[in-house]
Amino acid sequence: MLPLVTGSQILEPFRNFWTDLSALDPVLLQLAAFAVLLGGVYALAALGLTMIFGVMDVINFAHGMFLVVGMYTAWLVSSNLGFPDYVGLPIAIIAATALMFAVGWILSVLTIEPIIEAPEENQFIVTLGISFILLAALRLRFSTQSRQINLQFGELQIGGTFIPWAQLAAVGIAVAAIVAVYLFLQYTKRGRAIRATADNRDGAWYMGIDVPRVDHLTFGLGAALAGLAGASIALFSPFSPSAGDVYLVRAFIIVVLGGLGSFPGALVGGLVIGFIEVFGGYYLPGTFGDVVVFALFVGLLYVKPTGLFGTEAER
Amino acid sequence: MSDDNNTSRRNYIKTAGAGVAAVGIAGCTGNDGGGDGDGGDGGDGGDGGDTDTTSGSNGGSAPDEILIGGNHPLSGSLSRAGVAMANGGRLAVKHINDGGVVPGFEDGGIPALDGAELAFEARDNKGEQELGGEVEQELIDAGAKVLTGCYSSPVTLAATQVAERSQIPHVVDVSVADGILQGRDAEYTWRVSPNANRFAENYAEFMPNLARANDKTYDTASIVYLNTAFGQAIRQHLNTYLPENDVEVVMEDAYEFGQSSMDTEATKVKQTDADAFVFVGYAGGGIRMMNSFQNVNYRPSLMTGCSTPTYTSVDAVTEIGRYANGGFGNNYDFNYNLDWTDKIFADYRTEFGEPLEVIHAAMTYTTVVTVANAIEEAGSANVDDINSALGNVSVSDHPAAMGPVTFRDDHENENGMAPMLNVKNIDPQVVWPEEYAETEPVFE
Repeated sequence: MLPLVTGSQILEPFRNFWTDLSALDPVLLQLAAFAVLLGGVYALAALGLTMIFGVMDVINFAHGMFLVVGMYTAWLVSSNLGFPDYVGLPIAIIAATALMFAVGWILSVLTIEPIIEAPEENQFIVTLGISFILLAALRLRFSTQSRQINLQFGELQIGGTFIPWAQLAAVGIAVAAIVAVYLFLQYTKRGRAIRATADNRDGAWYMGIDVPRVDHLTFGLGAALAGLAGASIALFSPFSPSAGDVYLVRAFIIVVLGGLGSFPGALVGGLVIGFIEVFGGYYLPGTFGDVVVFALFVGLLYVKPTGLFGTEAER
Repeated sequence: MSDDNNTSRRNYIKTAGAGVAAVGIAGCTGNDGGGDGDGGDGGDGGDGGDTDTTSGSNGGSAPDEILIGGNHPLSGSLSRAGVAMANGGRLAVKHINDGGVVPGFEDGGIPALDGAELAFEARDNKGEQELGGEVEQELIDAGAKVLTGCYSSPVTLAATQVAERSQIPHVVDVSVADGILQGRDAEYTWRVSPNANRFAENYAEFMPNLARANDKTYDTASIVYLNTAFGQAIRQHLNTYLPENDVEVVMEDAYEFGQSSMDTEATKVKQTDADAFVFVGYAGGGIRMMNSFQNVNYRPSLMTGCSTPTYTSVDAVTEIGRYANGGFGNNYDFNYNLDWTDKIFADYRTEFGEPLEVIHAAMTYTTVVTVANAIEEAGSANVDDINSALGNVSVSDHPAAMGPVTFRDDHENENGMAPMLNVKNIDPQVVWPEEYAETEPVFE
């Protein structure tokens, strides 16, 4: 039996929000801060996915597990180095990023390149298979127990608003990564080769670009960004081998929302989802905020399938 | 582990699967290959097509061995609990067979069956619902007279359907979903652990009383619960029982499994600022919730949980750290005021080479003791006799923090209980009811 939802129940969250807004309740500022922090992390999680899709037309279902490998790498390195946090954590984050770049490159050579021209369902099966293998390997090696990097960074307090330093650092990493990737793509020879391949694979071939090598580089960079995202998330959130699922789903939504292959779209999409989740979670009953997220996803696919920043693919 | 005569007398040599091998307890569930096991029918000497093996004490030949089947998650995401539960069952069987530990079984084996021994075979359901029934059937085919498991409620539901169909008693050690017994009219399914309803009922009675007995106010509560059938059931029961104990639920909020951040929920709880915060969910969510409380610089006056490992699991409170100190949660547990419990912990380490850190093992151990008492009462290894005896049994000698195990007409344990634990120095300890308390409560 479906519970009947009355009009007042539907309107109540909006009334509450309006009441808080009218009173300039400080909680709004707190929620906005959390929304930005969450959105930034989501954007970072989506960055690698949108890059791989934009260049290679491959939907990488192993992306969530790439994040998790990054989490475990950062945790392993930071907990075994014995350095103070301000030294150990940067090393851990770099290690996770570098490892995932190597893993991504190798996986591209061994598993993606052979099926790059195959139907999409083949890519789906292969990347899903990679995801299962990584999940099983992590469970075997680390068990299913929840882990976390025990940090006592504390919070930055601005007025009545608390901003956790660890999450702020993660967002800082996200912004830096987005800027770095943008500069790489715009101003380096390899970056231009990647953009050329993304624009027109056949044309890139004719212009002498080693497209398979570009693919490997792209997949490696995408995996590295996932590793970086995972390491950043591990700074403030406990994780287990199955932690990647939620980020994979969110990343897909963000990529579609922002536009396939669009970096600014990933950032804006991440922020939009972050705001909906945080404010929806606060004002809407239960987990209805998730319903809004998925409704937006479906609605956008219907109204503007290319996403907010996407463009029609050239044939 | 000891390699005594009792062990060498066992005549079943079944492969207990990779789960047993993984925890390195070769020899615990059978001899080391030099024995006389037939490897086939579960050791009852029967033809595999009939589970009726003895006429018990009425002059018939007593069986050498009675097999208890453990249907547990020995691999996968629930394996830490599952392996410990299976080991708890094995240890209970060893204690009964060796004698001198379990009251009523001082001479080893089942007295009414001329000292017939118990055996415990563990098989792996991986915590997957679709394997619950399959593993149950395997254990039945292996000759199990009684089954136990399965930890995960959906798996237990699937498994007990097979047990009911096969008319083999299944005594649930751990699974809290009400639906396992409620509304099913089960004949062969019994439950030792408290169900979701009892968890909430115990919490709603114990925690306010505990708080008020220590001059703390507990008139209002905010609840954050996992948005699953389990979480919703506990939340629904809390809404029933808390008002009966003069507590008003002033805020409820759900969270999704695997949710990346609980900052929004923490903000909501902080804004409400009820006398007590009640968390309902698994360890991962609990740890996130505690992190998020710290993110918003908030600590509830009473930080509590119902049916959650957040404040009752050593692993969880270790992950949370000092912030967990002063937290309260309720869960089934050992009675730490018994010497017997000390022996269980010591023998567990000796047998399995690791400390006992999973309290679910208390329920499996107690379940095996209950089954042994039922077999003793039945004086028979016939499954219907055992099943009938389960309906009449009352087991007051067991190591769990609860009253005598005795089953109601609906097959729930009349005295199933989840006492309150309190985190002190990052160590959860039983503090209420007073008869089971290890120590005095602290409120941070």
